[in-house]
Amino acid sequence: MADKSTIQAQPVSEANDPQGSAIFQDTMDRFLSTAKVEAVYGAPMQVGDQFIIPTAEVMCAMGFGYGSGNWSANNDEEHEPTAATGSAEGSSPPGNGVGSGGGGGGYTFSRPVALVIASPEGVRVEPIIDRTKIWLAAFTAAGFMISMSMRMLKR
Amino acid sequence: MALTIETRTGKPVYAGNIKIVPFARSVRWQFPKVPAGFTWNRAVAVLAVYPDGREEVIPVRDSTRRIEVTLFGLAALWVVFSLLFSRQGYPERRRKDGR
Repeated sequence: MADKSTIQAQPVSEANDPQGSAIFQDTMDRFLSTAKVEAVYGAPMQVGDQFIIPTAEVMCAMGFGYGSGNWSANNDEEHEPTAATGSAEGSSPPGNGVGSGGGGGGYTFSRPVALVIASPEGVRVEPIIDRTKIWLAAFTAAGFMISMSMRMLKR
Repeated sequence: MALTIETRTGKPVYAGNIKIVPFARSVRWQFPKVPAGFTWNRAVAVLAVYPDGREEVIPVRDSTRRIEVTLFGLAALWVVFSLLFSRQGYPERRRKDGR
């Protein structure tokens, strides 16, 4: 075979893609900053003689993937026609190529959990109940239980 | 895989003359050599320091999560008991089978 084209895939490192790595690192740093205390406690608000501090939970998942590849064709020998390439004239021109690409995805979720209420009488925590979430969980659990019971009865 | 669980203290907040110190717990899971990870951060408690020097730790309870976990726990228990009954056979069925 005269066709000596080679394809090499390699991960992008800081050495050959410093800008891309910096962007990924910056995004990861921002992602990790969600673990700060300030991310789950809001600023206190004064309502009459009470101070209200909202609290929350924050969930964040993130991932990136990137890579690059280069293609080189050694055209020292005469390009012979093959079944794959057809005639020599119709074959792709010799040369080198480099390509790189990347992608990523993430998910961020935040939900209020409770209110810290500070009044002259003292400090108390009032929970915030998400009824929609509870109803969804109840329907899911009930559906699961009913379907399992029906399967058991069929046996 | 680096899993980190830590409880952090935030900057104290003054509500009138009551000092409130927030606490948060974070769970971080970061894959080595790969830019991917997971973070879960939530409020766990507040420390209230009153002007007379009295201190009180008040936990921040997530009622929605508790109810959800209870519901799913009940469903899981239901399945476990259903499986146990179906394996042993109901008493009526055992009588019919002559077991």
